[in-house]
Amino acid sequence: MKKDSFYIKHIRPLIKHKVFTLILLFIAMVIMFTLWSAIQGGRFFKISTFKNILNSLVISAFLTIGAGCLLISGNIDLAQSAIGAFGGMVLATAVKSWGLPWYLGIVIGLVLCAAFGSLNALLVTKFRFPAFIGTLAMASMARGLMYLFSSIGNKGLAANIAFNNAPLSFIGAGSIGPIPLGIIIMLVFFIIYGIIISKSRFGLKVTLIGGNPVAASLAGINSTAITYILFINSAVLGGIAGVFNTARLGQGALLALQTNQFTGITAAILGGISFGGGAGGMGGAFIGLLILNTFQIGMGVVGVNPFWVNVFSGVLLLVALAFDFIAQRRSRSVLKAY
Amino acid sequence: MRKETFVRRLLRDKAAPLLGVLIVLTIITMILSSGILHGEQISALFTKGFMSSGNLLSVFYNLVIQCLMLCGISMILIGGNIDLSVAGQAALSTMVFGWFCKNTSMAWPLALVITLAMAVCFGLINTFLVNKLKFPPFIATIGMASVYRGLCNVITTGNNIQISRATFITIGNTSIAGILPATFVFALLLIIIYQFVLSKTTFGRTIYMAGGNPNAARLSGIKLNKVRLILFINNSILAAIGGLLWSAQIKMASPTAIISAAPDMRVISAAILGGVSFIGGSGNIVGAFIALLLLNVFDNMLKVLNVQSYWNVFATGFLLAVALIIDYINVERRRKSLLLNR
Amino acid sequence: MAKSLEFKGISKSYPGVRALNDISFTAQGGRVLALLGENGAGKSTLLKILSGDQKADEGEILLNGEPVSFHDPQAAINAGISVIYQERQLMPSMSVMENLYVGSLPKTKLGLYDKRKLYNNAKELIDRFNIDIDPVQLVGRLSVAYQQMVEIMKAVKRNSDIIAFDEPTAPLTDTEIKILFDIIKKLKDEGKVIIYVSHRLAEIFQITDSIVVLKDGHYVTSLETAQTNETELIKAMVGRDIGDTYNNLSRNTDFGDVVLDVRNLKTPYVHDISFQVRKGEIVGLAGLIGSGRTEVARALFGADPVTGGEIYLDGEKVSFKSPREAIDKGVALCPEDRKEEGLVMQRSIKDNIAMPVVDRVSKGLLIDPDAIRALAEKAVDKYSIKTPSIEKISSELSGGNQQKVILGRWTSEKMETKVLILDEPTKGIDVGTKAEIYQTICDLAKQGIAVVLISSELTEVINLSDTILTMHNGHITGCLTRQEATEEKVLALAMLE
Repeated sequence: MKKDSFYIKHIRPLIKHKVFTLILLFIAMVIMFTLWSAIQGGRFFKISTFKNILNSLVISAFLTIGAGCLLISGNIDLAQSAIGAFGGMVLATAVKSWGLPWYLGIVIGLVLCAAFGSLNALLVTKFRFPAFIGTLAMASMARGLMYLFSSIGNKGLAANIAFNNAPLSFIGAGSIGPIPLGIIIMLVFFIIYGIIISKSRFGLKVTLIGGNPVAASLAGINSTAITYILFINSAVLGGIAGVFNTARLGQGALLALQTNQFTGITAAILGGISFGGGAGGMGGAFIGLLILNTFQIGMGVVGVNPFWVNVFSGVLLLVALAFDFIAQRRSRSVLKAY
Repeated sequence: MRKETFVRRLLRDKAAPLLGVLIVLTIITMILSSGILHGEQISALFTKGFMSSGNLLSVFYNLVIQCLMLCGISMILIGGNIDLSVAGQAALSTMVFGWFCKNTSMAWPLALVITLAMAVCFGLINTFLVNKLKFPPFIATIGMASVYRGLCNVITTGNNIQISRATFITIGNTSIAGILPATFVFALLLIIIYQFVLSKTTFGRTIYMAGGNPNAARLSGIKLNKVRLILFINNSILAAIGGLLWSAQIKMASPTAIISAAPDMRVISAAILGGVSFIGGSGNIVGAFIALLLLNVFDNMLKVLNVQSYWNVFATGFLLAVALIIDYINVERRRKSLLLNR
Repeated sequence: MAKSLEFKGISKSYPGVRALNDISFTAQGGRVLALLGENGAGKSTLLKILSGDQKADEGEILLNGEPVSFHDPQAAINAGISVIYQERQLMPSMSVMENLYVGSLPKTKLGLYDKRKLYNNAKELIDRFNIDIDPVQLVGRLSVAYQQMVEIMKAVKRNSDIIAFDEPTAPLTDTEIKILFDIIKKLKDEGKVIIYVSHRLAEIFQITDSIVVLKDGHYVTSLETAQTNETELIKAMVGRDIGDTYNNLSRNTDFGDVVLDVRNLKTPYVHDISFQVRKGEIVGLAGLIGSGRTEVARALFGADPVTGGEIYLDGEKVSFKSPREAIDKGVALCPEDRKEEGLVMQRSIKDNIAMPVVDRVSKGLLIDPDAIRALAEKAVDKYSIKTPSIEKISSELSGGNQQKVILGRWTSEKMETKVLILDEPTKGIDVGTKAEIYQTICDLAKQGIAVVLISSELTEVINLSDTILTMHNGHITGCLTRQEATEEKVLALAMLE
C-alpha cells in the first residue's frame, strides 16, 4: 500500500472535517455582525466584544464538554445543569453556613455531584432506564436537594446564599494579566478533553461505544465502566460550572444554570457531535459554543430583542438535529427508547 | 386456564395500591394539619388545615391545568409517543390570548378561538417533526419546548399581562360552596370523558395497539401517522385550554408562572406512576389521575405542615425513578418467561 | 369454488444477491403444500412477497386465476392472505379478543366499542378450535404456544383463503402440535390453501399433501408427499456444482494437540454440547437456522451466560464472564451480522482493526499513532483489503472487504488468537472474494489457529472443514470427517430430531 501523500494525510481530513465548515460559519457570522453594526453606527469588531463572548462561554463550556463526551458515547444527561446548580449551592452553603475554606467547599460539592453522576449511570446501566427519562428524574431530585442545601442556616427556607469570599471572587471574576482566569481554565479544559477524546485510548473506546455499542462489547470494550465514568464526568463538570457560577455571582443562586440547560447539548451537536454517538470532538464543540454565544451577543449588539435569540437557539438545535439525523439515519442508544 | 375475573384484574392494576396510599396520605394530612392532636375538636378535621375551604380551593385550582394536561399526555404516552413541550405550549397560548385581550377590543371568545387554532398549529408542528422528519418524539418536543418558551418572552419580555375580561374571569373563578371550582368540575368531566374514550371506543383501543406494538398495528392496517396526528393536536388543545383556565383564575397571563411550576413534569411523573408505561400500550387515565392526586396531596401536605416544598420537587423525581424501577422489574420478569420463544 | 394460489415466474433480487429466480408453482385449495429448502433457498423471501411485505421484481401471483398485486400488507390481508410468522405480531398488554380483532373492532349502534359482541365473537372463534383460552386474558400472560394459536386464530377469523405457516412448531410441545395439526386439518377441509414451511421432515410427512423444493432461489421440483421419502427429498434439496473452488485450496494437514475442549456445555439455548478442536484444525458447525450454533459461539466467547458444562483452553479450565476475558485468553469471534455486531460502520478501517487491542497500541494514556497505523497497515496487506487508505470509513467498503477487516482485527499482531470462531463469514459476499476468504481460513489454520466455522451453506461447511458437527434444536446430532461427509448425510443429520 503506497504511503499517503502529505495532502491526503493532513490537509484533506481537515477540510472535510465539519470543524472547518464551522470555523467558516463563525467567520461569516463575525463579518455579518461587523457590517450590521457598522451600518447602525456601532462597533461590533472590538476587543471588549470578544472578551465578552469568551467570558460568556466559561460556564457553558463545562456543560458542553460534559454533554459532548456523553453524546459521543451515545448517551445524554438532562440532569447536568440541575446537578451543577446543586454543586454551586453546596459550595455557597459550605462557605457561608459551615465556615469551611473555599477549596474544601468546592471539593465537597464536586464529590456530591460525582455521587449523582454514578446514580445516573446506575439507572442507565443496571436498570436500563432510557437516559433521557432517568436523568430527568434525577434532575428533579438534584434540584430538590439544592433547595434543601440552600435552606441550611436559613431556618429551612430556600433562598439564595450570599457570601463574601476573596479567593472565590478571584476564581469567578479575576484575571491573570489581561485574561480572565475563567477563560484560561476553560481553554485548558477544552484542550485536555480534546486530547482525551481524539488521542487517548479512553477516547477511542468512548467513540467506538457510541458508534456501535454491540460491536464494542463484542470486541471486549467495557461499556459499563466507561458509562459510569462519563456520567460522573458530566456531573462533575456540571458541578464545576455551578461552582464558577457561584463564585462569579458571589452567591449560591436558586436559578443557577437555568438558562444554560440545553446550551451544552446544543453546542455539542452544532459542533458536529452526532446525536447518535460515535463522531465529533471537543474542537467542534468549542466552535459550536462559540457560534452560539457569538450569535447571542452579536444579536444584542445590533439591538435585536434578546428573547428572539432564545427562540433562534431552539430552532437552531432542531435544525442541527435535522441535519444530523439526515446524515446518520439510524437510531442509537439514546434514541432507543422509541 | 384461570378465568380473568374482574376482581383479579382490579387487584393487579397498578392503581389499586396507589389509591390506598392516597387515602392513607389524605387522612394523615387531615389529622396532622387540623390540630386535633393539640386539643382541637374532632370537627376541626373537616374545617381546619387540609380540609379548610381556602386550602381545598387552592388545591383544586392547581389541579385544573394538571388534569387537562394529564388527559393529553396520557393519551400520547399510551400511543407510544411523548410531548415535553406542553408547559411551553400552555404558556404561549395564555400569552397570545392575553395579548389579544389587552391590545385589541376583540371579544374574548374570538381570541379564544384564535388561540386554540394556534394550539392546533403546535400539534401540527410536533406531528410534522415526528412523522415527516422522523425525529424521535422526545427530541422534537424538547427542541420545540425552548422555542415556545422563547416566544413567550419575546412578546411579553418576561412580564405578565393583566386580563380584565369580566365573563372570562368569572368563569375562571366561580366555585361551588366555596370549595369546588367550576373549572375543576370541568376538568373532572374531561377525565371521565377521556377515560371513556380510551376504554369504550374503538379509537381508544386503537391507541393502545399503536403504542403496544407499532409494527403489528401497522401490519393490521392501523395508520400510525394518523393516530399520532390526532393525539398531538388533542394534547396541544388541552394544554392551551389548561393554560387559559389558569390565567382566568389568577386574572393574568403569566407564562413564567406556568413554566416555573412545571406542571408537565408533574403530569408525566403521575402518568408513569399511575401505570402508563412510557413505552406505550398500557395504563389508563384513572390510574394516572389517582397518581396525580397523590402527588398533589403530598405537595399540599408539605405546605400545610409548613414543610419546605422543595421536598416535593425531590419527591417527584424520586417517585418517577421508583416507578421506572418497578417497570423494569416487571419487564425483566416478562422477558425471562418468554425466553423460550426463539 | 376451487381456490388456488399460483406463483408465476417470481424473481427477486437484493443488492448483491439473487434471492428468487423464476419461481413457478401452484398451491391448490383443500391441500397442504410444504415449502422445503435449506437456509437461503428463498422460502422467507417468497413468504414476504406473498404477504405484501416485499414486492417481486418480476413475475406475478395469481389468486384463483386472477393476477393480484399488493402495495402493502393490508392489501394482502384484504385479498385473503394470512402469513403467520415466527415473530409474534401481537400486543402483549391487550386481551386475546382485542388482539384477534385488531383493526376491526366491533362497534355498537352508537359507534362505541362493543365489548360484549367482541367477547362473543372471540369465544365463538376459540370454541371452533377447541382450545382453552379466556378471551379476556392478556396475551402477554399466555405461554408462547398459546400466543401462536392466537396468531393462527387471527388468520382464520379473517376468513383468509390462503394461510401460510412459517416454522410454526418450533416453540410447541407435542400436545400443542397435535392441536395445531387438528386446526390445519380443519382449515384444509374448509377448502383453504395452506402453505407450510418447515424443516421438520417428520411433520411434513404427517400433515402435508404435496411438497415444493427450493434450492438457492430456484425451483427444483414438486412431489406428492405420499409418493416420496426422506432420502429423495434431501437429495433434491442439495446437490450442486461446486466447481474448482474447493479443489484448489491449499489446506493444513498438520494438526496439533487439542486446544479447545468443550464438555457438556449448557446454556439457556443449547444443551449437552461436547466437541474438541485441535491446533490447526477447522471444525465446522452445520445446521439450520435456529439450531443453536450462534448460541454456542457466543457462550464460548463469554457473550452469553453458561449454565452448565466445562470449557478447557489448552488444558486449562476457563470460564468467561465477558468477551474481554475470552479475548485476553485468545478466543476470538467474528459475529454473524458484520454490520450490526461487528463493525463500527462510521469509523475507519484502522479503528475497527484496533478495537480489541486499544490498550495494546497505546503508550501510557494516549494511543500510539505509529503503532495503531502499523497494526492496520499490516492487516490490510495481509488480507489484501482493497482500500486506498486505512482511514477509509468502513461503511464504504464492500461486504468482502468488511469481513476481511474483521478477520484482520482478530488476527492482528497484537492479538494472540488461539481459537477463532467464524459465524457465517461469507454471508452476502461475492464469489471471488469468498474464494479468497476460504484460502485465508485455511492459511490461518496452517498458522496453528483452531478454527470453528459456522455456516448455513452446506457446501461451504463441508468442503472447508476437517471435521463437521451437525446441530439441531440446541444439541449436537452428528459428527463426520470431511472424507465421510456428503451433503445428503449432513443435511439429514441437521434435520434429525
